[in-house]
Amino acid sequence: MLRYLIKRSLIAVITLLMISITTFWLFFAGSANPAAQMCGAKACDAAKIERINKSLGLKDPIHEQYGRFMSGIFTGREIGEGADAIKCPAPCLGVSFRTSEPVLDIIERGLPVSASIAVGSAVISVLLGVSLGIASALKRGGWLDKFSIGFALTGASLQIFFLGLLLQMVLVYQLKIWDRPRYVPPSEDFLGWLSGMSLPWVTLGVLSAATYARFARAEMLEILSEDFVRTARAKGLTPRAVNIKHALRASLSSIVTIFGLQLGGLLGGAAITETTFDMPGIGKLAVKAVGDDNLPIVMATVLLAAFFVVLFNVIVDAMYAVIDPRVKLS
Amino acid sequence: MADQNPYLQVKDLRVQFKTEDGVVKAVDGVSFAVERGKTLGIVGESGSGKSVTSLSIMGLHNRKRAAMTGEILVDGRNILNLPEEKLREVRGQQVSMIFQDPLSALHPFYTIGHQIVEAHQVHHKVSKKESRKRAIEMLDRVGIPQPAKRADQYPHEFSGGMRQRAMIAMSLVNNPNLIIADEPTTALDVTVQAQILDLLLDLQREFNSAIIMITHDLGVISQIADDVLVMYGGRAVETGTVESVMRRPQHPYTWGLLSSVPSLHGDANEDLVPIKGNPPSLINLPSGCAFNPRCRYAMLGDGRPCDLEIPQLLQVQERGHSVACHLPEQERVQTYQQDIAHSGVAQ
Ligand SMILES: Nc1ncnc2c1ncn2[C@@H]1O[C@H](COP(=O)(O)OP(=O)(O)O)[C@@H](O)[C@H]1O
Ligand code: SF4
Ligand SMILES: [Mg+2]
Repeated sequence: MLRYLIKRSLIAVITLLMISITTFWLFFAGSANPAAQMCGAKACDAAKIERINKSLGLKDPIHEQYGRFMSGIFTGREIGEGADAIKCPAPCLGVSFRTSEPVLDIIERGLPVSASIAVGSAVISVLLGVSLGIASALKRGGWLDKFSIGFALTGASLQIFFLGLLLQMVLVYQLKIWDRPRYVPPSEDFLGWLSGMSLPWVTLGVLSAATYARFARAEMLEILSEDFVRTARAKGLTPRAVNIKHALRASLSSIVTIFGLQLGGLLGGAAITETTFDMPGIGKLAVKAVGDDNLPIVMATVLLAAFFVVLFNVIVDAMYAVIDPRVKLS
Repeated sequence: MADQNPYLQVKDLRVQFKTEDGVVKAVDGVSFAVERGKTLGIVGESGSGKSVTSLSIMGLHNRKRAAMTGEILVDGRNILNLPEEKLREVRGQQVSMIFQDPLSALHPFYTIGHQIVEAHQVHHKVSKKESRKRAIEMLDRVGIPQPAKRADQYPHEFSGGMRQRAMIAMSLVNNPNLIIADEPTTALDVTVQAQILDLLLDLQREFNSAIIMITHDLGVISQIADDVLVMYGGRAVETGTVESVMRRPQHPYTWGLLSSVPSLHGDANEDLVPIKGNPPSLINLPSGCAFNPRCRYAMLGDGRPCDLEIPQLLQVQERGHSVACHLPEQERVQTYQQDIAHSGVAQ
């Protein structure tokens, strides 16, 4: 177990390093011109661009810039020169090229928004999708089963930006029966948080529930035909015990697999979701930063996403080991 | 004979499944009986309806999907009419099952001990602790060393033979009166197979239970069974005591089975001849005798009966021995004595 954790952490660190180098290199290999973006549309002469480039070291060799970035994470650094210099204490991920605010602060502001969306919609999609899938497998061919097949098909073909915008338009702006999507910290106003998050949660949750329902149904049907389920029935167990203790328990590891895949997808989807609902989360931040050539924020959001993917993998592996005694972490 | 009240009586059992391809007549009018303390062997190639028969006795078919007629009397009660709650009392307590592949028949996520305890608790209102004591006792009884330690291990941590012993311990934990073993040794190698059969015989003597031993291997039958039922295409084609059916078989299919099995004491150079052709589709059985396309002795054409009439299972001269074949008995006896008993080849 300990060996597993050490090994996984090492792999994680190496992965993150590689990703940071790649991102850095890709940024400069492209047509990014952060100085021009910072200096604004008007009153921007070559001298000013020169000054910005110099003060941020943007024309230095890439490996030097990368070195500065990395050392900033451990030691903190001062960015810019002279009177304009900004203190960025460790762990410093740089400052925004646009607002000069330390990136870490910006991330800290966006993270709760993204986390709220992800956790809330994950809870809805797992609960709704898995129970729908299982119920329809148990009553195969019944009306619930037919509904769930239709639901899975519809859900798979709808996109979040389409359904999200549609619901917003109709429910929020035309009928005015649903709260406008917005984020308030739950610590300040719990009910406000719930109602502000509800539309993104429901939209994203129901859409991904379709995937869960489809997988859970297929998995459950397969498990119901397994020999050990027949054994459970041959023991004289009640249908409830057979279904829950034997069949459902056995389907858990595949449900966890989908869960891991979906969580990864949720990150990718965060950009679209947050843009659709105009929520100031990490995804929206990343999209804007890419458009603005705002390197420090691009770096930070990419690394954060990579970190979570690695973390989810470890969690999913650990869950396998807990669920299935045949799996050993190594 | 104490045949007045056999523990299990199956009368004219028919089981049909409606599928997209048509109606599967998996069991088509089969009757047999087993007394306590006795073993009935059911033998036949795969797909002959053996497992479907055994699952019917446990009431394990989905009643919506399987159409069942006839009678299955367990201790006088007809399984086919019992409501689900009553069936659950029968399952695992009065009748229990041992399956072919214990690795897939045991739940991979629960320890052996847990699964046996569960089987005991369904039918006994006792503490978990007592059930566990009973489980360990049973593991010990079926010959698993260090039973208390092994109880806490998972099925995948057992060897094939030990796993089947554990499965037997689980099936016997409630002292069932009837044990149905569906190819319990097929997945095991020969030495382990013999040990498992010995164990079953031992336990049978101890608990005086009835056993139905399902197999495609006549060698197993001759080792363990008192009576035998030969099935082909969902029907009984020959039945009787092991002594009469194995020594003086009268059905060409049984001849084929016998010559495709190595005799346990025979020499290794014996010719083993698998029966030519494939078992029939149970959706579309050959007309008349279902065996006729594969039968060397089939009487076909010119109004002869083998593809026209289904042969009835009729008693032969020997007591308790019945055969379903259109060949006259005299001819069958002679053919077997002249052609088959010596050459070992039925075709
Ligand atoms: N639930 C079912 N639905 C449809 N067909 C079935 C079902 N169970 C068994 N069968 C069919 O019944 C026939 C007999 O099967 P089975 O009793 O398992 O044979 P075996 O003698 O090998 O145990 C096979 O053709 C099988 O495909
Ligand atoms: S009835 Fe005819 S086809 Fe069937 S086993 Fe007898 S001889 Fe062969
Ligand atoms: Mg079978």
